[in-house]
Amino acid sequence: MTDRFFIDSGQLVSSSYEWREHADTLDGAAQRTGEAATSGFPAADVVGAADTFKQRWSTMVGSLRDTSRTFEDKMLTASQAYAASDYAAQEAFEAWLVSMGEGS
Amino acid sequence: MTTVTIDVPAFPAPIPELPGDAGSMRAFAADLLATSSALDDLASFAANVRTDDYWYGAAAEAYGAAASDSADDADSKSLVLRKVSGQVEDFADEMDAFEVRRLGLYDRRTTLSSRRIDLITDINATKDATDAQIEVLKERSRHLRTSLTVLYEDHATLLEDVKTSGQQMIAAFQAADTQAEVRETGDTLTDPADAAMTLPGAPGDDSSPADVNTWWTSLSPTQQRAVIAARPEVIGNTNGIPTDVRDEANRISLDLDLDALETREDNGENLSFAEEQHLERARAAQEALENVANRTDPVTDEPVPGYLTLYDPTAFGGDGAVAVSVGNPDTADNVSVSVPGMMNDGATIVNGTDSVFNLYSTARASDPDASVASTMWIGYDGPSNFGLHGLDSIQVIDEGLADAGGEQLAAYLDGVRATRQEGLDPAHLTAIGHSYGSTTVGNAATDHGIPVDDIVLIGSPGAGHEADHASDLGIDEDHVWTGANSRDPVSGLARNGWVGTGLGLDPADEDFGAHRFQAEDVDRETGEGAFYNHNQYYQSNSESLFNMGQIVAGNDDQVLGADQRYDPWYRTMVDPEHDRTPTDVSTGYDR
Repeated sequence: MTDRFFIDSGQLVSSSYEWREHADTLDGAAQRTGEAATSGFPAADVVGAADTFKQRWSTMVGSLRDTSRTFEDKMLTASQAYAASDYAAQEAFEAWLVSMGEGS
Repeated sequence: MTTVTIDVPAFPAPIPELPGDAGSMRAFAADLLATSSALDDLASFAANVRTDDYWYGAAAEAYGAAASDSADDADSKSLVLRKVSGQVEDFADEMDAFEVRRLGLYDRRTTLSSRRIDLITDINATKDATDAQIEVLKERSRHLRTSLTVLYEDHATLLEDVKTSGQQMIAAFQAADTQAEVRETGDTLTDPADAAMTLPGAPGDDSSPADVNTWWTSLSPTQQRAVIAARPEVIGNTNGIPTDVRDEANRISLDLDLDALETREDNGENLSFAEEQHLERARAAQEALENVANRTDPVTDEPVPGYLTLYDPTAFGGDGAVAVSVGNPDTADNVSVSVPGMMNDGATIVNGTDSVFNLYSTARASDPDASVASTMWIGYDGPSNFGLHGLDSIQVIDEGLADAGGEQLAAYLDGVRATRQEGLDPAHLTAIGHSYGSTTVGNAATDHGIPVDDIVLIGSPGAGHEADHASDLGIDEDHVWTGANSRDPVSGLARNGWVGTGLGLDPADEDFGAHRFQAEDVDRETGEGAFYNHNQYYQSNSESLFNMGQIVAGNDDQVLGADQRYDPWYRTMVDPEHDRTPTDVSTGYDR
């Protein structure tokens, strides 16, 4: 952990949306890959290999979709965590200020 | 009498069709390439996640490292999938080549069958043969047997080659279907796309369509496949890239758009207005392509190929840019590019493909020996919006959009010329502008010059600011044509003498000097709506469509001429077509 950090939490939300767009695209791509027609291949063994290939790739693309979704969620969570942390610090100081006023 | 027996070989065994469908295999390869493109997008995004501007610190560094890891993973997968896609395409090409060999064997078998029948006929007809005659017949039989043996050996070799090729395809699939294999293979591959995009003539502001075409043809198949996957939005929309390649790239972009937006819709998420507009235009492009795919050529009854030659659904503030070709402009004898007018944008391309299919069919019927390609080009920001989200229809009263559109149209037409397939004569190229699109065509011709053989202006509110005469359009004035329905209110807006809107002179006016053709509609008095007569120019069995089909086909002497409008000083414009009874002209095709 470094002792300095800077954050524009709104940009984290924007970045989260960008990950979402990629996740959505990969969702469709994984589906299309899994459903790609293999019946045009010339023999049963080639069709079989193509079927295995497309199913495994659908899974692999789906895995990257899930990774992108995780980024989407984590960026949103990070943004909320920074905002919550800032709010908690603000509340602490304000509460202290109030308590100082009550003491005077 | 002595009977001599001559042993004639059995009837040749059949040469059956090879299994498999190369077109279906190419569709499989295209699906893989589209997915590779999606992975490449992710890899580029994740590799360039720069956080310093808005986020730094330990968490930002951890995020950057994780994103970089995902970028490497996506990049490897993209490259491997692209490689396999190419292998599938190569396999499909091999299958095509095998089919050519099979057809050759089939022809040889047919010939040998005929020789066998001839031999048997000659044997049966032979009476009291000499020894020499008998020997000739025996020699023919032996030669036939030898030829059949060679045929069967060649057929066996072909089947073995098909099998070997299939085994190689299986090996290619199996070498790249696990995570470990993908990682290992991905590490050995480099992406040639970035380097290819920096070579001289690559798409960019400084490259003419001819430069781009030279650049494209200089790339290796691997480089070409790489740039299609990495930059489909560039390859699909750059003038000078061959039509079939633009189509392949744009279909990838279309697939990815539908993947993203329909997934969001399926997940029940609310789409923004811009996203809804984007999805609407993507679906319109898809529907337009399906519309063409469901059509057949009126002469051959064979399917007509459709090409998505422009696809930018978010262009012009969300109006979208799109073009669909019926037939291939790179190879067709007669090529037309139609430019629509007001109220057209990326969402209206389905109607546009109806229009150009009618034109395609009529031109084919006009000259059945000549091939045709007809394109509906919505590549400029036409006046299309009245609502809250844009007011560009107001601009129909001036030429601002037509000026900009003229430049874009001129560049597109330069691209059509540049992508002509090597070895073919130049196409007979016709530009057709309807309504405000005619003003756009006029401005393209006067301001930039367009490399066309014929210009057709229909339902025109004016031929543009610089066109006071057909000869101003930069081509032989004998090849400038106009169709103007006498009841078309938009055509009535054009300037005759000093009366009219600011979009230019009426091309149907005698002062303009264009050939006017008949364009009246049999229902001109009863058609519904104020703009009925303005929207009938591409209707099947109409005077207008018949005449445009003749012009596109180059049958100028078959065009049904009409008297031009004129404007005597003492009264308003006179239209001789007003009192002529319209005819129902067969365009050789009923929609």
